[in-house]
Amino acid sequence: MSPLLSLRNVSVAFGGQPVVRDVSFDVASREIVGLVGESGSGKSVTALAILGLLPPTAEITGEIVFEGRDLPALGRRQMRRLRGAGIGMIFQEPMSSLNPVFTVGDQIIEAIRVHQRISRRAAADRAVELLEKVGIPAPRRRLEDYPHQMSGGMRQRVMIAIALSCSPRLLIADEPTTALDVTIQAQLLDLLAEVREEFGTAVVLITHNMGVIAEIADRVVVMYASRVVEEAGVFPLFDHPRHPYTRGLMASTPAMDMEAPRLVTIPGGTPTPGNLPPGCNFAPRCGYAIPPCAEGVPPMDAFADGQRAACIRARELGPAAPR
Amino acid sequence: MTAPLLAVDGLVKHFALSSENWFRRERPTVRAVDGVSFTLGAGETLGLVGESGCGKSTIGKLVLQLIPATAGAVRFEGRDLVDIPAAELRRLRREIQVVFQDPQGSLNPRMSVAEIVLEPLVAQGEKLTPALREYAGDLLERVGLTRAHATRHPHEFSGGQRQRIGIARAIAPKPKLIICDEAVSALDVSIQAQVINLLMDLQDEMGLSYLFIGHDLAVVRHVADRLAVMYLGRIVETGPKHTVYTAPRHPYTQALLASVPVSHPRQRRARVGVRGEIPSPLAPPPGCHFHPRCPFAQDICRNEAPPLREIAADHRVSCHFAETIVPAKG
Repeated sequence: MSPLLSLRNVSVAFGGQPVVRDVSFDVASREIVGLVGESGSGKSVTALAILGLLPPTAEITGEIVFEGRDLPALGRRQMRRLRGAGIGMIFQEPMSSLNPVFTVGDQIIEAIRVHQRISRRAAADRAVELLEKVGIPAPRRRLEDYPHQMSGGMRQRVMIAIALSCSPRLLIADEPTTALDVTIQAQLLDLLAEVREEFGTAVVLITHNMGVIAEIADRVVVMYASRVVEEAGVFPLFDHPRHPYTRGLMASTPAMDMEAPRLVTIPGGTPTPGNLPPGCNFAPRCGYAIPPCAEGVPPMDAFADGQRAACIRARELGPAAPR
Repeated sequence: MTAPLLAVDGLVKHFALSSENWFRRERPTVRAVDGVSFTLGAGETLGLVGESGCGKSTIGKLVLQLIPATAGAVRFEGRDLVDIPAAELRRLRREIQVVFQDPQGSLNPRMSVAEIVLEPLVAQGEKLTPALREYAGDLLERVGLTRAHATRHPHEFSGGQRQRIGIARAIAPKPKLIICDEAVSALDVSIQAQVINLLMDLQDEMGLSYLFIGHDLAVVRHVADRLAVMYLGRIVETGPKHTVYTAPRHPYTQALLASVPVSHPRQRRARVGVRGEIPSPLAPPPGCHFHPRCPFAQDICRNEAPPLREIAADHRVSCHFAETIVPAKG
């Protein structure tokens, strides 16, 4: 079966400065794919490229194929129709995605009626149904609320309701729980998992938090300094990360079940897009680097279970021991 | 444990809001901190955790005397900071320093790094002598930067480096206590680990005490010796880290711990999280603040606020049913 979404050698540059390089991965129907990386890794720009929401100055190359259509080739109108109906989206800060001068009811109803020819009353009923689905108590009364009258968690639920209003096949969620408290984050992760079960929506979940990945992702794409460095199913990734960056990222994350006196660290800091080292971007911080690492961008090496890592020493180093 | 370095006793902070109704005289008040007591020993780290609006950062500001307390005492080495003469408070400020979450917002962009780092000393009346500038270089090296950084300005540094500058400033007057208010929360994971290790090294070398305010329970577990869990202005549970994490007795602590994301997909489970959201601190529920969300709530919980009481050595819980609630696995 062909994937729902397929990225092939996608690069994005601004003013000749690449910020995403050569990104390839697939998302199957009903699959939750985690796109994980630190600040400046290019994960959010990749998401915006899929959504066609980058400014016109962005230079995009490569293929982004959704249900057989190459998205960068679509016109603005077609892309607009697809956003919402085919691909829904939620972002980190729901307050800036909602219009403060309209009630949440107005905004959900508008989202429904942009894509479906139904009456306002029918759309309002559908809005109530959606708010109930995303766990908002007393949904009919809440339609009258303005965004500022809701908590951050409730606003994010409204965003998910809007995203689901046209039954998209794919949901792009960019750090959807980062601004929320941990108990609310847990509720929303449960909600995203339910959405996948009930609506069959595939999710690209962009996050910096390995714990969020461990909770709900099926497959993981790890980005570092504009490139994909590793891709794997969530179990192989956590059982035996192959790329030294993934290993370092996992080891430096404090865990609840760990009592080590010191955290393992990755030395140095992330390079900025204008100052990338030659060859492997991670080599200057890598404990396993050897001179050839600086000579060329390492190709993706494929392992069992569909695990892939862009490291010339991955095979020789073998899988890292599980934590 | 000998006499505590810091003893907070019955601390209360109310904020009066502007009235929503022009014709009503009384203004609504937020009880941001509502009778909080805890102690912190020398060389010890107390993790103060809770969700947004629970009052944890307000406690940090009260200990620093950046805002006046409504009631209660903040005793540092036995002296109550709330009512000591201004001159003495000023002198004591050397001993209590702070590292904030946002190094961007807490470093003056017009100052050189040396000036920033020496600011606590200059504020105490010391002159910017060559010897003092030399000391700034020592501090920068101590936090993993170089002497050459002393003449640069904050914008030339990454977030992790700026946080190191903030730490160098905090240790400059050789304090005994540092308030870390979400000090590593804004940093990327790989940088966060470096800064946590730095804080722990400095603690060992200088015998520092930390009041470590945070919301990431895995990070706090890593750095803290003892823990205090807050909910809507009150401490609901406090005790040694190991006890609170592995055998929590307050239903809120249990829910909070159950909400922390797993560290391996193998640990995925049906969550015993918590329903609902934190009520508005403007109108906290009567009795136990947590009762509307608590699966164990009884009539008494709706009417009577449970006191924070000791249920085992050094383990205090404010729940009427702390003895009967089975500890959830942490």
